[in-house]
Amino acid sequence: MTSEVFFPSNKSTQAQTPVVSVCGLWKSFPGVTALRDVNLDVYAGEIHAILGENGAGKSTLVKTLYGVYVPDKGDITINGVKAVITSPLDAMRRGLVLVSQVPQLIDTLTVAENLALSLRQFSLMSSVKSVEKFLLDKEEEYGIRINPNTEVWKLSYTQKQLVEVLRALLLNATLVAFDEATTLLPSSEKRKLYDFIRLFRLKGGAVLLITHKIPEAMEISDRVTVLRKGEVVGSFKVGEVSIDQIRLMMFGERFTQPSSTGNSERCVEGREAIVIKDLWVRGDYGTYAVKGVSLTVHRGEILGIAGVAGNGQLELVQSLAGLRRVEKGNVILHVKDGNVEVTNKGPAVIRDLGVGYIPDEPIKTGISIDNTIEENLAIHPKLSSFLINWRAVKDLASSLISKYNVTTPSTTARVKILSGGNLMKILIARELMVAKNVLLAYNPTRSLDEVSAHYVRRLIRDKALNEGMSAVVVSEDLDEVMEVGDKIAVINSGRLVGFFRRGVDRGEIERVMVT
Amino acid sequence: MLDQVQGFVLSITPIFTCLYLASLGNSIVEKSGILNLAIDGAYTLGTAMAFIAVASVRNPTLALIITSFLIGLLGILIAFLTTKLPISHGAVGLSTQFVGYGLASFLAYPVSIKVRNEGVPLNTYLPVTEVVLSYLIISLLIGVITHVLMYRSRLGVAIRAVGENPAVASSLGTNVLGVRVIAAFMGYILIGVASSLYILLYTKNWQEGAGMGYGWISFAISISAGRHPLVGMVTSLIFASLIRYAYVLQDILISYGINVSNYAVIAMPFIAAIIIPLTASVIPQMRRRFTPPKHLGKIFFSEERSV
Ligand SMILES: Nc1ncnc2c1ncn2[C@@H]1O[C@H](COP(=O)(O)OP(=O)(O)O)[C@@H](O)[C@H]1O
Ligand SMILES: [Mg+2]
Repeated sequence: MTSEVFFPSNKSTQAQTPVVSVCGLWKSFPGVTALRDVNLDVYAGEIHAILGENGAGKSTLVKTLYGVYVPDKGDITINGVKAVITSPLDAMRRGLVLVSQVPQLIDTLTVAENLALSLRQFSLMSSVKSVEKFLLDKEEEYGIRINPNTEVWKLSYTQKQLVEVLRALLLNATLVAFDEATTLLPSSEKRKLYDFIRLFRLKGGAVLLITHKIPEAMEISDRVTVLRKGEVVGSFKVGEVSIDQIRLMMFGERFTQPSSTGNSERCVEGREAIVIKDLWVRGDYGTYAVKGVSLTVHRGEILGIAGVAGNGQLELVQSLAGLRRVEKGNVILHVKDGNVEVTNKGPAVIRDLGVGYIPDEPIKTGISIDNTIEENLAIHPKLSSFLINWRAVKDLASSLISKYNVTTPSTTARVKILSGGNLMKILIARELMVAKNVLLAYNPTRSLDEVSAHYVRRLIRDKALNEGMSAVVVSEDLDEVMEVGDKIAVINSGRLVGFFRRGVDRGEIERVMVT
Repeated sequence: MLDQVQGFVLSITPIFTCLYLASLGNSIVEKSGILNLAIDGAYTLGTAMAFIAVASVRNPTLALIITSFLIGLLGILIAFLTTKLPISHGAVGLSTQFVGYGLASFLAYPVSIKVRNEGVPLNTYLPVTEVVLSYLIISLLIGVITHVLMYRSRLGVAIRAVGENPAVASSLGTNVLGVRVIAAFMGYILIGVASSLYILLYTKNWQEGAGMGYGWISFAISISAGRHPLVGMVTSLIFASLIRYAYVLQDILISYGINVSNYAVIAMPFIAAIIIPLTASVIPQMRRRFTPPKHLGKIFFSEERSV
């Protein structure tokens, strides 16, 4: 990479005044105090990790720095000067940029059009063409190859995140906050992004890094601040404390040694539960995304499917759930009363057979964020009939909330006010409950913290073990597939290219994932 | 032949311009995410103001400029109310519509009495070829400029962005309120121009209820064109012809023994409003273009969780 040109020059090596300093920051939303008296100093040339369980207030903190939220109380100082950040536009002008887990780009616009919104050197009347030309030059310089004339919806997740990074570069940021921006990247891409972050630090940039992967955070950062329920419970140089001490601070009493999901290999005999034969499914562009996949999952068995995002796994799961047309081949579910061919039967029929489904992008397709927790449970045909017994729903909601440790003001809170992880827990709780026979899942723990993620994976495994549920769990996170699957299939370009047993060496899987 | 074409163009242009420009205005406003239910009220108010203005300043172009500017200010008010306050776009739009209807009668009626009793001359545009043709050319030109602005300039990108997803647009560095104010100002100026032309070029006089309904027709034109400035030219032409020649068409049909009622004739433009987008949506590339902005009519809370 040619780096000299675009990283801020090494201005302050002594790093005495923090680039950004937060003092006594408070922020509350209806029903929750997301930040309580938070203090934080971020210095030039430092990677500063912010750790904390779901709902701890990490996103709120960086969004406040980025001008999305107005703090209730407290001061933000930039390079020693007190600053009132009124909007993202204002934050950008002051050199602060935020990159989130969900790419903040507008799908229907092209890459150039999206970036044009951020680039102040272009006036309102300047042409998109001129922005395109500017981007082509810059991309050349940075070694990022994305056609600026492509509409964003056509990009892969990784490409979208690269566009976000490009944006941070073009804005000459002095501080970039990454809010779980690396969580969903395939490991090779993630490494690339971490390389970029290190380089950025080398050139005097400051980085705020939020991630669920604690070991990863410890590896790359210089300093760690732990948030718990909106409060800073500790701030350390990396190396001063152990990972387990940090986990204890993050999770408190919830933290018990991150039990590997226990029981290593187990022998699943049982009868066949899901049989897929020569399945062909088209992707969004009309070409085949799944090309002749055949596989069998037994009763009580969990099949993990690994693969780099965009290799047909999404289309595969959607077709199993009845949400995408199967062009060729068939899917048979063996439920208690016999075999049912479910190919192209539609989601209503399939779900009626006791199939739970945790979709990718749950906010769009799994949960209605404008409705309350209770309503999101009551909507499920398996959980209520024509007339809703609200008292029963409320009881159900309360029991799930305590079982899954969901942080929410009440059972009638609208789902959108929950933090990403808590929102995901509501969905998982509902789907695990209805998955009497089969669970289909795509990135089921994508935005959960470590403890919650382990917990969810254990729930899936326990349900398989004790109740004979079968599951197909697709994940872009290889660790997850390895932790949850009894057997692991690797998908590449729409074909299954490898089958492994639980306990296989990680390297072996990665090798077939990328070839 | 040439004469026939010229005759057609001359007879259709007045109604074409006062529909096309308003639909263009509507497209800009709605692309920015504001549900434009105030349009018919604004249109009716615009015709009334143009009438009052031309009766007092006696110069059609000056009357047109004054009216358009005032209607533009109304647009700014609507942008502000729908973006800054948590009131539904529907409520803002419909109440503005009825205020518009009411104000139009309240202000223009006394003037119309005065015009009639005192014989005040109304200096509307002369129906001569040069004037009519220049308005045709001007409106087509405005259409092309709007197209370039919306799809080729950074301002147009910002307008479409705040209509698609104001939270993301803001996070990318757009001032949502500012952009909507600009879009609504431009859009309502065009609605103002169109409604002025309704009086100054088309009907040449005002009466109770003048212009009422034409806002809605422009709305339908804009939507059936997928809010696209160039497609809007075609749909406006269809609507204008249907309105201008509806009764001719009825006569022709009757002469062939097909009996169509007056109601069917009146309904024709609206049936077209349904058929045109349906036809367009069959073509996949068009379908994308025709989908409304994702955040059209939704209340924007700047601290709302966008997850
Ligand atoms: N826009 C919002 N409206 C209401 N509540 C919110 C909003 N954003 C966050 N919260 C609440 O604030 C708390 C902290 O959330 P967040 O900062 O997203 O946590 P984290 O990123 O650490 O998982 C949570 O309880 C969440 O429900
Ligand atoms: Mg978060």
